[in-house]
Amino acid sequence: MKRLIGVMALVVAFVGGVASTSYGDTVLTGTTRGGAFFKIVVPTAWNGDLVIWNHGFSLSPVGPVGDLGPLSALQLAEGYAVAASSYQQIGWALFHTKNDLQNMFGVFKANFGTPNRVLINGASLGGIVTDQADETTNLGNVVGAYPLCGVHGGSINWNGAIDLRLLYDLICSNTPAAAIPGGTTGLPAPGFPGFPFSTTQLAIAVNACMGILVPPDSRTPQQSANLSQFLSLTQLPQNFVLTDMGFALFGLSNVIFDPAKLDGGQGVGNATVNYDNGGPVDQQITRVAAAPGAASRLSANYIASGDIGSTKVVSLHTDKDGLVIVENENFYASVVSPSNLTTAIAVETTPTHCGFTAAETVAGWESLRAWVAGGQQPTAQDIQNTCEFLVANSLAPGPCRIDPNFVIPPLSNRIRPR
Amino acid sequence: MRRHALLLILSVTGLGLFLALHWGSGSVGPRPVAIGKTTMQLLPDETGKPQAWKVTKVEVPRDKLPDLVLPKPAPRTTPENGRTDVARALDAQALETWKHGDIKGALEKFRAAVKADPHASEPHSDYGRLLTLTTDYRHAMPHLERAAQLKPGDPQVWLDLATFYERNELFERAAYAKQRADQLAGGRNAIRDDNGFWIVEGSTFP
Repeated sequence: MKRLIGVMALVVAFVGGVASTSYGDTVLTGTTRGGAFFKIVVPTAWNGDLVIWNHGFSLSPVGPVGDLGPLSALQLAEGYAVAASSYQQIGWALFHTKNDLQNMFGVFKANFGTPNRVLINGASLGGIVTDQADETTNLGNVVGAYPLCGVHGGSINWNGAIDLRLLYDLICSNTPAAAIPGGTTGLPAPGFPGFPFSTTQLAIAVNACMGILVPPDSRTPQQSANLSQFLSLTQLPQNFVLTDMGFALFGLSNVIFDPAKLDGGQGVGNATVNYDNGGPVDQQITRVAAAPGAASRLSANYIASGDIGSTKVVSLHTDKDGLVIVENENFYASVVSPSNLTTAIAVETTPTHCGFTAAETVAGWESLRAWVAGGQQPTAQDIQNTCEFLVANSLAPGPCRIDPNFVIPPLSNRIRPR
Repeated sequence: MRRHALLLILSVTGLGLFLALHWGSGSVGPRPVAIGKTTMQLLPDETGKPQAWKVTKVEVPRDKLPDLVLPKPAPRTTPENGRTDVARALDAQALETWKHGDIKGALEKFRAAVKADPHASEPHSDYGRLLTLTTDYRHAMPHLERAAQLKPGDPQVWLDLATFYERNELFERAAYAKQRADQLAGGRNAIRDDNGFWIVEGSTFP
């Protein structure tokens, strides 16, 4: 707790949005191989450590880094240098993220010297990029990692995407206006971004099937029935249907058709999946087998192995995340030594993806900092206590919703085994 | 033979000059980048091979967040007028069209509303929200940012941006926008609606 009081001024600065104006930050930007942009910020009073921020899934064209993560203002105020890569690939960028981070780290070392310690922080897809970096990338003395809503199960999650895509086709076949081109590959070749089908067209199609964009009392009985069946089979929160359909369409087709990813290989399939114990869905859904070569390439890029050496990890997730489901934390806990991993789950009212409060995010970060500084491994309860301390002292807005007794179900409960 | 020797000497000299320029004499690091300058640095890639990469260095005060500062809107040249009324009427029609399930029609009416008076903030906000809901983030962003420029004292425009940035996984910006909203909300709570959008407690949308 004394440590927390010590950082109080910095957190106040973070929450206030303005740190000391007496310090300047040196900002280094540029590009590395493959067109990845990087941004490195080093505070004048640099403490010698580096935080690497890994951003999440984005289908926007690769461009200059505009975001260093939710904690960057605090981290810079605490003296850390902060660096981030745009990655050279859009979407599921794991095929080259290892190189992107390695090259950015090379730029950092050449210009500022080797950092004493490295901490890696990332959200969503940035969570699995963080895992990959912990496990396979030479980024110097990596002592800690802080994945937020991380997709630790990595490529396994694409199984959920193909299920979603093909269940949509089956359930919405009763609504002509709901038809979407493609199927087992998401969109037809050449996939996203080459195939001409827009997010608006997708929204209109999904809305025609399920009335997802209109108030419940404006839905037709058919739309309500379709929506109910879709939610029952996919176990998704309603407010994520459209977002997830985007992943199952644009994201899936991009990973399959991008020449630098699976180059047309069917990396995921559903040939053996049990949807309803031999019922109508099992009988009618389109089936496709994964091509072994493409499937193993997808798995290699990337599923967390848990081989993180002595790196200490605090992993934060919301319980109702409808995009990167919380069961990913169960998977991660199954491969990482418990003495290296603390998992904390925030229990929310409305399902969000990474919808943490500032106090929760700061509490996890400060708990990791204390741990890597030689303190005891924090428990989820400790993180909740830290969060409550921050809120009680008006250091960061809450609420604090971490439930130390939350039981995380296995990933196979939500993503059907195959 | 003499010509070849000359070429060889020139090549070696050129290479030496190149390396001296990029690595500096007697140093192991690349040529340092001066503040405010862009240069090519010769650095090893992940395989150890040297690559020339473009690097720019600047220095900014800590209180500046250049990527988050929205440019000021062009000043309104005329007071609110008939065009504003038309824009508001079209905006209201668009909301009704949306509620009745015609998403395509609603998008068209919002577009018309924004065109009728580009200085009215509500159509930008409402159009940006529907585009966010349809996950058309590329088109949503300019409208939500424009609404924030036009009505910077309204906490809801910053909550809309917080929602948008969060959905685009731009968490630094999301935190900044949420913080601005909290500062402006004057004690009113920000909550999430059924879509997961941030709203000022007590308000509804659409």
